[in-house]
Amino acid sequence: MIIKQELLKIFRLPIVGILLLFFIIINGLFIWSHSYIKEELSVLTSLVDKYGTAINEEMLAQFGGDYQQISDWVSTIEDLNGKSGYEHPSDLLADDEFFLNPPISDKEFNQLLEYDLIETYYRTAQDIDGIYENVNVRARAEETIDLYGFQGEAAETVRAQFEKLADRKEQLIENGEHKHLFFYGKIYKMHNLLFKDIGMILIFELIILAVLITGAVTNYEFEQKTALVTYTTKIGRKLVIPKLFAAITANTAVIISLIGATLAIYFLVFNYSGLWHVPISSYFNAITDFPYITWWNISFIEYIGLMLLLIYLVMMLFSGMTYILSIWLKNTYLVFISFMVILGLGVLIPGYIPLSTNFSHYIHQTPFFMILNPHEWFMGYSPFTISPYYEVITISSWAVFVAGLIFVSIRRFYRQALH
Amino acid sequence: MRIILNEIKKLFDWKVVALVLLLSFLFYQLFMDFEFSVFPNGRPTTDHYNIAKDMIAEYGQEMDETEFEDFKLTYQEEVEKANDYLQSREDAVAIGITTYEQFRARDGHDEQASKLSSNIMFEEGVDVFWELQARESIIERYANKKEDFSRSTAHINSEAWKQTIIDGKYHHSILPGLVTDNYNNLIKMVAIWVVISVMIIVGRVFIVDQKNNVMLLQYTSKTGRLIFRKKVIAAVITTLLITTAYLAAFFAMYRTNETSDFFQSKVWSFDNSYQSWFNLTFLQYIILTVIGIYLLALISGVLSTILSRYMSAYITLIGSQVPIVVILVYLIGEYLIYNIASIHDPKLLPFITYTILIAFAFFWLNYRIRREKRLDIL
Repeated sequence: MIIKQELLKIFRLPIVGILLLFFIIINGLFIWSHSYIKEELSVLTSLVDKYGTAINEEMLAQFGGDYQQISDWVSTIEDLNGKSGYEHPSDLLADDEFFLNPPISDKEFNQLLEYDLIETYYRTAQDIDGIYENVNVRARAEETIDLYGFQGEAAETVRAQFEKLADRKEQLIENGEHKHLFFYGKIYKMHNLLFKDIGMILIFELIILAVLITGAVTNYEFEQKTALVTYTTKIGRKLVIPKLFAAITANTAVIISLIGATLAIYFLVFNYSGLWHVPISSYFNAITDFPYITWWNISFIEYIGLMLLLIYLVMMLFSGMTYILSIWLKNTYLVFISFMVILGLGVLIPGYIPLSTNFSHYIHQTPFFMILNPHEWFMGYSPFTISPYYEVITISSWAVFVAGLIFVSIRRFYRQALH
Repeated sequence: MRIILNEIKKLFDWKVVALVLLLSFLFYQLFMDFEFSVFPNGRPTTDHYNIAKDMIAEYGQEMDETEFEDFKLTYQEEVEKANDYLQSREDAVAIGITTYEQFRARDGHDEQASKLSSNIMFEEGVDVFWELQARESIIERYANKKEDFSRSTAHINSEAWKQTIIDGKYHHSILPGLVTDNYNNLIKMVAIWVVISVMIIVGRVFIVDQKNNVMLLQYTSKTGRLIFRKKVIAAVITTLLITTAYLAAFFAMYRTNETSDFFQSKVWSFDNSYQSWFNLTFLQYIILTVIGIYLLALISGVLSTILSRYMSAYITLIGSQVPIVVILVYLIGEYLIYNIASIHDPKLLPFITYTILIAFAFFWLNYRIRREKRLDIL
């Protein structure tokens, strides 16, 4: 019952709702500003309708048969010099003059553009085997070490992790995880749009909400000058414990509403039908020559689930840290600024550590660094987060650390002068 | 006056100031340090920057067509130097690369040629080869300035305006884009940080007294409700102090980028992709952005003051400041500071936006001042 009263202290304030609404509108506008690619994305969705997502001999044969018809159609079109017999749509479109002043009707030209996209998918699907043969994980390790300037022990750690990734790549090629159709990453970057851009926006919005809510609940008695009354009642200083649970409950509600509304808008704008179970390691997700490789076979929908879970856990950690700050500072204004200072330090400090010992890896295992690349979670990609268990270790070690500090802080609060 | 002074002292609470200073340092390290420590960024950017400075020393702020011929001659002389260098290298002669022309036209897949070029460019870092690259890009841009101009102004329908640009020889100005890009990136961050700092520090102007129930005493004292105006004045003075302090610190640091040679150059240059509706010199452009920052600081200071009067809990105060900061930061990055008055935005857009923001803050403040006179304070 006390928790309910504590929650009322927050949700009676219209600002939480207003802020939530403001963030949902911003996210909606951000998603809407990318919606112009919707039409082109639907080309892939209809391909998936026809052939499914898995790329195999049978599928390629069927796809190839249909592509032959496109090729036949293309070969009838004449270019500006009256030459015809082109094999691929892209051959025709490669000529800038043709692209700017097509000698065909608008309808035919649009058809040609669509076929050009289908060609991209068809030819990339055929090329995947060759591309993965050329992906050299060990060379990538050396490049990464050079680029960042790792030395000694730290470089060995990076090498060892990439070695594991090389094995994982072999396994991936065997089970064909990478051979699935998905929105073409090099053009549309849908993985980065959803998990990096929108993921980061969500994380920073939630940080603001979580810090404000936790700070306000915990500091309420001091800010409303009721501390001397409430903390001398029968429940007394134990009241800070229901406050912690009230903060957690309120944050959970806010996280679910904001992420829920944002993803709802996202999936209303972008049609992912037929693609929910495509593995994240699909080659089509890649935006550079080094593809995304998840450590386990994770499908798109599972990845969303894991992302939600991680964001939730990270927010709980941040909420816990805010709670600790609140107990010591007793002022939401100072708590908010202090949290931003801690966040800034958390992002900045790892960069100052020399990259010669394994300490440089450990220092990156913080939630502050983890939230910077939500699109690389559970993946072998960047050197500091490459370990398969990076996320699990970071979250669990920090959970222990924060829980310990919360315990100490509460104990301290029990015997503190109240003003 | 005494009250105003004391209110200002209250705003500069040591805990808040210390945290804001710490936060400023972090902000600087995260978003600005790079533009200072790595300017100009690598090669041939550094060479480009140095050549542009030499050009100003030789030709003045502008390079006309005859001076361009001279510039091309200098290029030829440099090519001769490169030829001499190549002929002095045995490994170059061995694979038949004896002139700069051959060096440029080398086959990218030829292993020996690639090895030679990477040795010259990266391991030895021979200046003349990098400088030639920079000079080539300058010559190319100067030669193509008319085409570039018509392409970048294709969306503008005023032939008369375009003619004044061409007649005014706007393109002759020497100002590399890397200098204005660097300044733009920095000043954008300064503007964002000034807005946030002002919000944090000025936001406490009313709420602290409100929380301590001092308002009731203040409003019934001899000064009475005039205290509201005095606090607003204190908030505005604090805003101006913070802004001036940040700008002074910023320009002290910006001096180390040593771009003062370009101050008298027109921003509209053949070598610069930023093009303005107005024929500004770089110094005038800097002044324009500084004025913009003062306006933004005042807008955020006044809005923060008003919100501080309305809100009785810190969560509501910060919560209501967040949307304002988000909107201002977005607009700063779009056109209020970054690339202000660019021809890619409608000519009057920044001015209309500033006017709307100022009018909004002013009318709200005015309304509140009038309301304070007859407000029920309990």
